[in-house]
Amino acid sequence: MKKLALCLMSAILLLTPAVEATQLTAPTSTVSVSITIPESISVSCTPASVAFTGTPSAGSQPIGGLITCTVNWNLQNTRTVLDVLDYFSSDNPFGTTKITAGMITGSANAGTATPFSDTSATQFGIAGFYGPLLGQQTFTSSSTNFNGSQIDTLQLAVNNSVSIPPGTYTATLNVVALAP
Amino acid sequence: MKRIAFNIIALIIVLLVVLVAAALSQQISPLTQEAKGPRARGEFTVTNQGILPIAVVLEPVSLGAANGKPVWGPLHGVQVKLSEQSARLGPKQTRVISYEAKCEQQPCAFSIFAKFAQGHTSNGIAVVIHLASTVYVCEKKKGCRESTLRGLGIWQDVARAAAK
Repeated sequence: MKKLALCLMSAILLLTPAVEATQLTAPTSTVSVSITIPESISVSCTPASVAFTGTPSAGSQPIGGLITCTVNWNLQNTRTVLDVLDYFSSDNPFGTTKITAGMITGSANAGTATPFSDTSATQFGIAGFYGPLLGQQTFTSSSTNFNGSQIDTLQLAVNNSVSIPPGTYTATLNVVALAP
Repeated sequence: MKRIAFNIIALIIVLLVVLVAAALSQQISPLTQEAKGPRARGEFTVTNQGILPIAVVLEPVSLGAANGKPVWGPLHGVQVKLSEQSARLGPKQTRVISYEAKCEQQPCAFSIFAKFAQGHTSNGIAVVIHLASTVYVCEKKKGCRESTLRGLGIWQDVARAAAK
């Protein structure tokens, strides 16, 4: 009899819903998540070099084919401009006074061929002899191009190669992408 | 005959793939950093996203202004020490370059140009890509870039640019 009563009591206790039990809620814990994506610019130019081999001429002759430069950028919205410039470091980029920077012309994006010069308005203060502005992006507060890419081409040519003595000459063309 | 044509086409495709992959770009990041001076310390990364090794030469220069434009020139008023002056980046390699700087006056600004050159050119014109990471050092880190560029007279906010 005692056993039966005990069993009944246990069953009642187990099956009776805890009506007055208070609901327990664990305190909300937070995990802060931050994502940092730094600004970046990347540039590629192909081919890595161009050469002129041919019969000297008093006119203009192309130096190799088109140089194609691809620029990718991911910038903050405080930037106002991205320029892609091309220049030679000196007036005698081939190491001989027989070939001056002014004898080399550049045609950016099939535009007018202009000789390299140190009077470029877009030289950004880096000393050099500049060709045409290769590419430019401007940004305003409503711009949607703070993240983007562009492709520019440059055709180099040499004027009056008849004045150049036979030989093999090398030079370095600097391509610089700046978003100051 | 068909087999030869197939082989030639396959070779051209492989060459194109190699050239496209080789053309992948060189990258620098971040473009700007702000620091509380007069001593500053930090790092930036240079990346070769191509599949051919590339040489990179690092050159710190001072940032100033002339005629309302930024001007880069030899270091003055700041000493910059780099962990490396040059490096050879393998395919798809990223290199972290650290720097330590000490400005004689604040604010001061300097850029570190990374000059990427692929291979050696024995004839013709080699193309070298220049990318810069610029460090602004002030008494207060926050807003250092803007205050420095304003001081140089070359700050142009986007709202003003929009009005032009």
